[in-house]
Amino acid sequence: MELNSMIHQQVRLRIMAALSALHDDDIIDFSFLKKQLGLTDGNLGSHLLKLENAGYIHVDKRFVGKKPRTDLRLTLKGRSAFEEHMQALRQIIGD
Amino acid sequence: MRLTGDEAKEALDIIEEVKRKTDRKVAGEEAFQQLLLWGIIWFVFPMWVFLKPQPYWVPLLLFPFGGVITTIIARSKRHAVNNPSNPKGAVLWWVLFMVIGLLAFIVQPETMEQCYSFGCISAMLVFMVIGIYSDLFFLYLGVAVTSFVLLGLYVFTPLFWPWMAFFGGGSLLIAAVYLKYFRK
Repeated sequence: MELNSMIHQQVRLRIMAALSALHDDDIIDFSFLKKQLGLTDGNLGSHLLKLENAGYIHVDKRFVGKKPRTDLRLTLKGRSAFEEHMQALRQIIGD
Repeated sequence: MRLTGDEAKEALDIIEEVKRKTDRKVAGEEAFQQLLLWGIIWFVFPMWVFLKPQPYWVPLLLFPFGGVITTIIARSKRHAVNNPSNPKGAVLWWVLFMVIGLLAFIVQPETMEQCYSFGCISAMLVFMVIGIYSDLFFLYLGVAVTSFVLLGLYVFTPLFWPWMAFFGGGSLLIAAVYLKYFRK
């Protein structure tokens, strides 16, 4: 098992952890995640873009009435990469 | 990429903490509207019975109305901070209504107070079971409201209906506000 430097960055680790708390098909709202992790729009947005480009999360932007809404969820690839990263961390501490 | 044992432990701790907080927050978001809805119903129904305004049958409609709204909320939540347990949650409450109805038919509580207490304690049983398996907050809430019901039924009998409005409905409303705005 290898550590994943894309996931291990502080903010992205927390984003992945929050998304991994949901079930497979679940989505989470951008503003909910922002509030939950105490991040700014820009900070969260830039890290989400990196995770999306890596194929780890799926970002769905749409309008609900006149309000823009961004739904996020972990992809299968993202979930397994995160699991592997956690396994690697556990191996280091000898768990 | 290399990490020390301490750094790896710290990362795992962060993951666990974020997951735990997200779990609780999602559960709180889901429970907020339901608790608010049922808190209002549990406040209005006993007060209506206590004050006896006409027509007398109106408050009985609150319960199927609450059931329908519960189902609608549960379905709409799939598009918010959603969780597949929501539709199951709605099914759980519908099953509960049927079981309460069936048990009430078998046990046949003699008074309106006993009947209402029976329904409240049955609902709280579900809260306690949910609490044991997911979030201890619901266990404590279930125990608290059940205690209030018993006190109202056996100790403060003449004041049963306003007691239930304030301590039954009130507990659910306070729980809703706490989950939404104060719990970290």
